[in-house]
Amino acid sequence: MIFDLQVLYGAALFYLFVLFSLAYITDSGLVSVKWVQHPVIYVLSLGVYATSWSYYGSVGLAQRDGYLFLTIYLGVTLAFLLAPVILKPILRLTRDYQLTSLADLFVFRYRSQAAGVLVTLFMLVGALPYIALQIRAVTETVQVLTQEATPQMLALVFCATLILFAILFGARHASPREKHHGLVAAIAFETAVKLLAILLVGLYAVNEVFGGAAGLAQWLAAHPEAVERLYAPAREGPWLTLIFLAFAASFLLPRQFHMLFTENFSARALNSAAWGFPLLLLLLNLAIPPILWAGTHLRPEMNPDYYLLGIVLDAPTWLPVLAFIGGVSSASAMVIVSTLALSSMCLNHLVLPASPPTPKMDLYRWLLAVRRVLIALIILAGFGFYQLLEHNQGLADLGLISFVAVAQFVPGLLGVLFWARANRIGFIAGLAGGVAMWFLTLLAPLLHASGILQEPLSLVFLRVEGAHDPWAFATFWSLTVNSLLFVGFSLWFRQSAEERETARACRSDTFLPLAGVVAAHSPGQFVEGLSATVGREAGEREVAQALQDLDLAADESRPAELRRLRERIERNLSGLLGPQMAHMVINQQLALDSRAKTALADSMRFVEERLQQSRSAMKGVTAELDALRRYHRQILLDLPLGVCAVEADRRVVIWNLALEVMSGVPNRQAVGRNLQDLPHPWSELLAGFARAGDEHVHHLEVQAEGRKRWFNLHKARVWDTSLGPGGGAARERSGLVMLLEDLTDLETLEAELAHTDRLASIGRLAAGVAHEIGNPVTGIASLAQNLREEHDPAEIERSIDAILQQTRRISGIVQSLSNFSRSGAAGLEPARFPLDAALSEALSLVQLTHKAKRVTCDCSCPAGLVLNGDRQRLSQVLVNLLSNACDASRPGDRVDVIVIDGGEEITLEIMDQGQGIPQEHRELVFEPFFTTKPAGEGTGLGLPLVYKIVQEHGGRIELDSAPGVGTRVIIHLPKH
Amino acid sequence: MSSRQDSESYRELSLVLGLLFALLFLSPLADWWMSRLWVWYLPYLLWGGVLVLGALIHWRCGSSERDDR
Repeated sequence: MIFDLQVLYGAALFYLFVLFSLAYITDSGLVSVKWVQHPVIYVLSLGVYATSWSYYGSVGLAQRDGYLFLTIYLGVTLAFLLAPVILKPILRLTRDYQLTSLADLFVFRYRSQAAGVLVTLFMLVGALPYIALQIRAVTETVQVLTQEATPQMLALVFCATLILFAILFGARHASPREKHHGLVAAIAFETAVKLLAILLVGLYAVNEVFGGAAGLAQWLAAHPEAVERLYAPAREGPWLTLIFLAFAASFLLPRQFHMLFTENFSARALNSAAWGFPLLLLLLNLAIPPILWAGTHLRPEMNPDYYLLGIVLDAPTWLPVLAFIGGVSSASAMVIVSTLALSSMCLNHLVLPASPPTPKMDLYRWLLAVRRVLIALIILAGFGFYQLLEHNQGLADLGLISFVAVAQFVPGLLGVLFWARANRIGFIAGLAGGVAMWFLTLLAPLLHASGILQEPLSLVFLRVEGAHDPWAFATFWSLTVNSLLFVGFSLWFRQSAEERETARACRSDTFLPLAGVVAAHSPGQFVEGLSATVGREAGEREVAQALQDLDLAADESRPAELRRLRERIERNLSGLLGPQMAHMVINQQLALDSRAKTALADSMRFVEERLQQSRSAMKGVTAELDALRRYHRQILLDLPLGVCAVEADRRVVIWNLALEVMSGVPNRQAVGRNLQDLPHPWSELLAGFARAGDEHVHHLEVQAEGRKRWFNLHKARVWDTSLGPGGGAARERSGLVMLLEDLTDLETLEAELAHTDRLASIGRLAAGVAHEIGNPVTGIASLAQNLREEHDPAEIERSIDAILQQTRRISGIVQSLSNFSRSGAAGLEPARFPLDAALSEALSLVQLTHKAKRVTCDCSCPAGLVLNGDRQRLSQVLVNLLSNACDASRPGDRVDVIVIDGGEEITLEIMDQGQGIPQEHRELVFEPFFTTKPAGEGTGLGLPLVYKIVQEHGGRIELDSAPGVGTRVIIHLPKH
Repeated sequence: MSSRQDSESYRELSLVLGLLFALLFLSPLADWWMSRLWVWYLPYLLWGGVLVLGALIHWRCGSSERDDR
């Protein structure tokens, strides 16, 4: 069957419309991100590896080299099976340091822009034949189906469509931080289409050409040489070489690197791809032998590369059209993704070094515009190469030339992952040597065959004379020269300090905390610095983004956090401008003071993180030590006391959980911050205590969160043992550990206890009070009764005065009782008050209770003596002591109260003539719940509270008692 | 098993699987099975067998591995 060009054109256009629509609706958010980020989509998107070379060329390669065609996929399988060892570390680096291409990775590791230029140019040269191959595959398949020469315009339209798609869906964002979901979905769709097409053609071959599996088996029995032709070249050909080339290409080809790492959204997806992607390749290749044998059986007059189309020419129309669309899918996916990857490399390593950004330009728009122009230029360059190519060259040959090209990056990549001593000179020398050998052994013959090079270069003869297999020969010699130069120069020349640093960053089992302190002191200064190079808008955006990434506040001032901010900005800029340009911008504008000491908190955090990551690798004593370290650390963190450790410069190193709860300041906000910069009141409390000479402060009252709180504080010096014990320098460099004990709950409990005691006293006072109130009430009642019959105004006036006098007396009693019994707040409420008034109030309350005993109370207090203290609490002291004195007295005894003004101190003595306190009880009377009174009469809380209140007022209490003679309680209180 | 242990196991089992793959496809054993000419789809069977093991390893360790983004 011969197809009309219009039909094919229409089918291709319809397919591309579907592709554009899918990408568009995905990017518009109409397809859930969860679906797009499903591992199946990721695996299918990696199917970009299978280009038209795989789609069409595998059959041709199988016809010529048997099962050698499988090596192109077996090598990939090996690389993916080893994903945790090889691909994961690369993924970690690309994500951590925002590296978007292989060139970025090498530039980051070897800190050389020249390396980036070389890698980019070589990638470009290696990829152009491959892009040309895709264009050729499409045009030749049109020729196969239409049996007419393909117009050049068709190739150009194909290229223009790809340019449009790549620009619309592959270059939407300037930063690789934003993933291209539309692109990923479209590439996955393309893989699904080519898989479906190739499986259906395979089924057609078995069922229609051979009449089923049995027919195929019969045909194979009749043609035993068909199977032998598959196996024989594999046994004799460059099986190992091709597996190695495919192994390298599976992650080093620009398109593979792009889809595997740049568009990767989760490390777990890579785990799924470790077996899922090789399975996809297996399915794509399962149909190749049946298609080859169908072609051998039908003998269509065409290049075996196109048997996939040739055997279905007589099938229903939809099948050859689907097969053709599968080919278009393979070619377009490869061109689009390769171009995107190459454009990013060209931008970062060719354009930006030649034309660095200026503050006046809109950086993001400029980057997008340049990237889009580069996309167009690269595809058009591929088109140009396609026109120059000699068309007899097999598809597989062009693909393998690219494979050998990317294999030249293997030594350099091994250096990135495993060899810390590798350096930029070795890398550049090795790559240059390898590229030269690749050019002489593979590209020059290709160009010569295409008529581009007129004279074969002398070394090309090596290939002819030295080996019967060009691939093994070219691979061996190019990699040998490459590796020898790489190793030799790396050993000969010394690494720069920057290279040593990045070499450590590339090795997951080594670790170095961020050193130095940023000269800028705030994110605002970061913006100023960056604006000088990338412009105000980009500076603000990048700083804001980095602050958001690290969850830092816009007013962050901690040096360690600013150092992290600088690191993060460099990483983010690396995704935008490439690692070398980002490094340059950051070094120029955000200088480091490398002499400044790295904050201990910062070092500790990095050590913790590092140990956390490598814990599973620890064994024996190391593991035991780590367990011990974690145990000690956990003790600190879980201690029910607030723990705050600070460096010599008063920066917080440890801020434990209890302190977080106590202060409401999270650990991540406190660590690394100077004590002075902590939120109020913790800055004053801790910084003040750190400065103070006392090592212990008890019962310190602090106003926090709108309420009073009480703390005991303790501190100890943490010596810098590296400076030796006790010296002056060691003292200056020593840190502090401070413990905070929150007494607020205890204080509240004690206040409640005091209140309970007061209520108990009121209970004891109640009878006396009732009696005392009862007398005036009786008097008032009698006076009121007399007033009914009294007509003399003077007598009425006297009665009214008498009533008022009695009511004042009642009010006085009630007021005293009320003052005494009201619930006090926790803590002292100091105020100046007259001591004699408080004393007489207490005396009157106590006398009411003990009136029956006829105890005489004599009070001697200097008039106008003022005391500074909590009046209610001190009244409680007086009531408790006087009650005890009266309780101990016999009827008719005296209780004397003497107050002596001692200038700074007031001494208050309460003496009774009671039975006294036995010697064995004197030590116990201040203990809570100790009482000698009968059950129901004493709580045992009175004297302990007295002791506590006096102590709170900074006073002291003494007890002097002689059994049978009496007791004297002496209280010393500071006046102020 | 913790995700860290899973990660270590995954890494070790992947290496073992890589060695098995090398034994089947990169050693003289490959020459031996290729010269037997048993069935044309033998390479696919071996390839598929390795992938089944890969999938089992993934389900056992890799799927619960922490996504250390």
